[in-house]
Amino acid sequence: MHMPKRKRVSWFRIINGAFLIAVAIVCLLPFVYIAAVSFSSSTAASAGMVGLWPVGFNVNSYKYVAGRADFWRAAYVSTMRVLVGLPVTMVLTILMAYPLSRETASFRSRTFYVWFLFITMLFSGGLIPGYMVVRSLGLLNSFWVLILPVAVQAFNIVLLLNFFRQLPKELDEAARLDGAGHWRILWTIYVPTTTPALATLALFTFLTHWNSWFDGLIFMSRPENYPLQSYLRTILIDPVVLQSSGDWQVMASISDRTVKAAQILIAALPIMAVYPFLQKYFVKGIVIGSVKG
Amino acid sequence: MKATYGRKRRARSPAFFWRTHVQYSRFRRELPLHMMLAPGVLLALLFYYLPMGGLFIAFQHFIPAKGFFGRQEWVGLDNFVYIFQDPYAFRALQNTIAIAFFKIVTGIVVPVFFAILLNEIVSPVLKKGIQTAIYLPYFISWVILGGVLVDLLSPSSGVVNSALRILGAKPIFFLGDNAWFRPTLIVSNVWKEFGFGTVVYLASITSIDPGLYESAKIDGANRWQQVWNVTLPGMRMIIVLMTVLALGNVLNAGFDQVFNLYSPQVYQSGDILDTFVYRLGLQQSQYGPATAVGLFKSLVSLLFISVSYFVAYRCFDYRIF
Amino acid sequence: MFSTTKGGPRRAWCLALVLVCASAAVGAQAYVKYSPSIDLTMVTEANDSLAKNVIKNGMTIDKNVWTDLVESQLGVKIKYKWISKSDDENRTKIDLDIAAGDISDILFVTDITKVKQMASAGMLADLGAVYDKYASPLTKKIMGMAGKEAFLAGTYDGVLCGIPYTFGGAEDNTSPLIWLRYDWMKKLGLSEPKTMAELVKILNAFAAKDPDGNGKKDTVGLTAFKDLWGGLDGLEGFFNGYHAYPTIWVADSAGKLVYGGIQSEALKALKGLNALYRSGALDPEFGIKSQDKANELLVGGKAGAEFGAGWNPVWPLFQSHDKDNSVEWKAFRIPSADGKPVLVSMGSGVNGMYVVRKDYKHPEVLVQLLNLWFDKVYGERNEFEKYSNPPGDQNWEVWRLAPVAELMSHKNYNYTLQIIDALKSGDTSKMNAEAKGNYDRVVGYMKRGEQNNWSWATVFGPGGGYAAMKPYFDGNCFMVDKFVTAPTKTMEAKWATLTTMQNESYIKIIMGQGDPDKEFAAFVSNFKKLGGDQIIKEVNDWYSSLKK
Repeated sequence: MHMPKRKRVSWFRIINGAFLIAVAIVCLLPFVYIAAVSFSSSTAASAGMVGLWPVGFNVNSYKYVAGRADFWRAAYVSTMRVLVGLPVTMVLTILMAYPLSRETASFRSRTFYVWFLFITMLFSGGLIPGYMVVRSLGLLNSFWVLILPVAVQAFNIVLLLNFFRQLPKELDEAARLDGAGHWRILWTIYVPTTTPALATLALFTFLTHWNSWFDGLIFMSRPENYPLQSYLRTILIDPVVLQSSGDWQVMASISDRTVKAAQILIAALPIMAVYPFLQKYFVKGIVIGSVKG
Repeated sequence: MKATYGRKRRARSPAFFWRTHVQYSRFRRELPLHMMLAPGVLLALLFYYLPMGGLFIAFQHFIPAKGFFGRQEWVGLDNFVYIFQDPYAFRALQNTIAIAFFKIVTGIVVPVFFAILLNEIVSPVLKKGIQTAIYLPYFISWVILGGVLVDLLSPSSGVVNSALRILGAKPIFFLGDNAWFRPTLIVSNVWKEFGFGTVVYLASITSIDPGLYESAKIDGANRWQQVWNVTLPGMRMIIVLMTVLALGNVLNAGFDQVFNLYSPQVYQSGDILDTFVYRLGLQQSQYGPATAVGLFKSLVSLLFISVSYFVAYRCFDYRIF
Repeated sequence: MFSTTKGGPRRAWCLALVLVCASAAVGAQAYVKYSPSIDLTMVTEANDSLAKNVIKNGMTIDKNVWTDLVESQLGVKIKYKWISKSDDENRTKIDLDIAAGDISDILFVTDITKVKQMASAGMLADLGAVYDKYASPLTKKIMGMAGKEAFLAGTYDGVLCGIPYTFGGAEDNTSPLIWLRYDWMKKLGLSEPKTMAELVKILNAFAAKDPDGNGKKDTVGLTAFKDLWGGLDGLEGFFNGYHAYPTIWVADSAGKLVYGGIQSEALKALKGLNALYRSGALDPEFGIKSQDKANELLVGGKAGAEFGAGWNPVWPLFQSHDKDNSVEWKAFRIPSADGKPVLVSMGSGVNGMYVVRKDYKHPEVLVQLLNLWFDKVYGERNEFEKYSNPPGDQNWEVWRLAPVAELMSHKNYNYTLQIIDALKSGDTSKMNAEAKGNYDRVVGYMKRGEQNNWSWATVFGPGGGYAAMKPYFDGNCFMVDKFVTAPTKTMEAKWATLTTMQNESYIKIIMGQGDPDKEFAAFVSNFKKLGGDQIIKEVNDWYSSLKK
């Protein structure tokens, strides 16, 4: 066992830590800026006067957002989308990664399936054919249109199958000797030992669902059914477009930068919360070690 | 004895029975695997392959009014010709490749570097905090970042140029100067996206058997030697994988970013295939050329990925799929 | 009499009977009511402002005073197939509907090209006869005010396929005025620019003479942005001062149409802008800025001028006044560069079209909805307050819920004239509720110093934006775009590239990169080579076909 010695504080650790903290701060700055804008007065924001600190501090934009039922309805749709979509996609990813991680010797159709999946990563028919398919399946304006078309993500599957492959063969052989079939091997061995990979994929999937805005916009017939990012997209309109329709009164009320900032910040909060939540799964490979022992 | 009897009677070899038996039990063994794949395959067929049929639009003069299944005019390769004979198309293609190349390279090197550094952090609180912070920029849309960068990089009032002035250098018009626009794109893109890749690499580092580190330490390896001999090799597979997948994006230089940062002054160095096609009036429904460009991009991606797959196979003995 | 069991010819006979009775009733508004009621599918865009300001008091898009009115007066039940929330989305969804062959019964499109495509694909109903027959005298009168070009825009192969939508005024999309910081002018002792040279002097002074008095040289004269044209921070006005019309098609001395962007006058204007750039009067970073970014200078008190339209004080200029009540903006006519009178360029004012699906059984419904609209909003016995703008809340624009709406041309300008008259005479009886609301706000600022009404006074008041437009209207000093139909075949393929090239070249010349004469000549020659010649020919073919 490794004996922790009393070390003098390592220079490397200090510099490394400081450097990474500096980088982290630089990454946080835009959020600080957005937060500052959201707490500033509308005029100061439009004059570009807000830096990292609010100018003319007020919480009007938040009060306003709190009162907008549209915003919260969209947030609700997004939440449901994640609650349903995440398990669906994760299960599908696991189910597909396992067979593809087998040797071709023990699974002869593997190559076919791999190509099948691979092509989907590269080729796409575009907007119109996609829309026609959704329409003919009767999924327009339904909740499932947010879940099903994106349930199969080739990138995730390829990633996971590689992680599966990294596991030692002995685990497989030991389980098979015990008479375990594929299902049992998958769920009792592969899944528990690849938690870092699964946590990573859960994160990616969550983010895909939380951030996607185009599908909600196109496939929903009523704004009430939009997920959050679709809703936000429609308020971040370029005022120039409105201008050309002579609709300057609309521009005046939409252009409030502080309100936009508040909404963006609120929409980003779940993202900020999710990662720390998943952190505990990114544990150094204790589990592999224990299985080996 | 029985087998001999069977052979005379039915003229079937034992090999036949053996093969059938093997085939049958092999099928039974593989059946669960097929079943696991089934639901995903069905969804992929519905939502990826069925729409792929629409690729034929690339070869039509597609007018939405005539309807998807309507009598559209087949124009063969005309859409491709139309795109590529435009004087600015070639420029856009060059820019796309140059920008995408650097994005891919920095998109691998930087996150790997940070993952290794981050792995060395001992305090779990600090580690968590930094990890969360660095992956946040990924979620700010370029619509907002565009405005922020214009301010930050302004030659007259921006922070960066103020710093340059203090150091005695001349102010640089980052977003308006063709010599600087591409580097600006790449650096800002790295900053925005490196946190994301770092997550993946960190996950792969934590999958490395700690026993390997112990043996290395016993052998007297210092920190850097450990990184070189244990960490990097342990990550090699994921790095190769991510590189190959990134190569699939060789023609996606980042529409959102470029669209929000560019302006006519820097079309020369910054206009990419996607923004070029966008301006060609795709808002006016020119679906034929748009699909043609999409198809072109897909084919090039296919080429790159296939080539790198074989390189990985031959040189690193590593099959990605 | 109106039996449902037979339908077909019987129904038509009954309708005809109703029509005869209706047209026999002199002077009364004749609506054909469908009984039993018929369905009408539509789609609409309900942006965020609508959701916030208009959908309230129990009204929703699906059920409100307008849908009730349409049902009770016409027997038409409106069903919204989908509702979009932004312009981009709207266009895409319409495209998808078109591709799927499933457009709504009545459709509103902003993109005239789509109308042309749908017409040639045989998707649209012929509206010519229907309009002539069913349009009320009031409808014909007001629609006629938009000029016959408006209807031309909707006519293909001699068939009227689309009723044009005119919104307010074409003068709002371009920059016929120069807005100047009046308090700075007073401080620096400058007066109204009567010539271009005087305007240039003012702009230079704004940049060089520290008008905000903070001891730092941190101001510019003029703002502009990377897309160059529009009703705010635009540059058309500057070009107009040199008799250049860079974004429209004008007739030359031989009666042929030419594109203003490649004429030699444009080069003169570009040189003028280059001079402003070199002297620091023009924001040196304008070329990379979005319009929103450019506005920061105006709001933050760092710029003193922009070319724009009469409505600019409402957004964004009011924010500069908000910050500091001594800030004053005033609009002036574009001064001439050579003493010859200035004409300001203007588009056709058609911002979209209403079309009817070909197989819809009642195309006349569109015209009836138009009649209903004009009657209730602008007619003699209008119910303006119920159906258009309820009093009290300026933002509660009920008219936006109407399925079919048309705003009177030059609405805001006309209101301004009324308001100026009323300020003198005190007589507000002739104004409708919207004009009266504006009037009250103007009075609020002028007589009672209510600062939050400053923008209204600066738009509608005697010294405001639309008032400054009066000389243009009085002297008909408008150069209207003569090309008013959907893009030609070559335009569809090449126009985007050509206008990109135009923007790139213009910005280069303004910023002094390369020799202006050579650069412009190269631009014109490339323009013609890469499709411009072909387009000019096609445009003129269309133009001469009109004259026949």
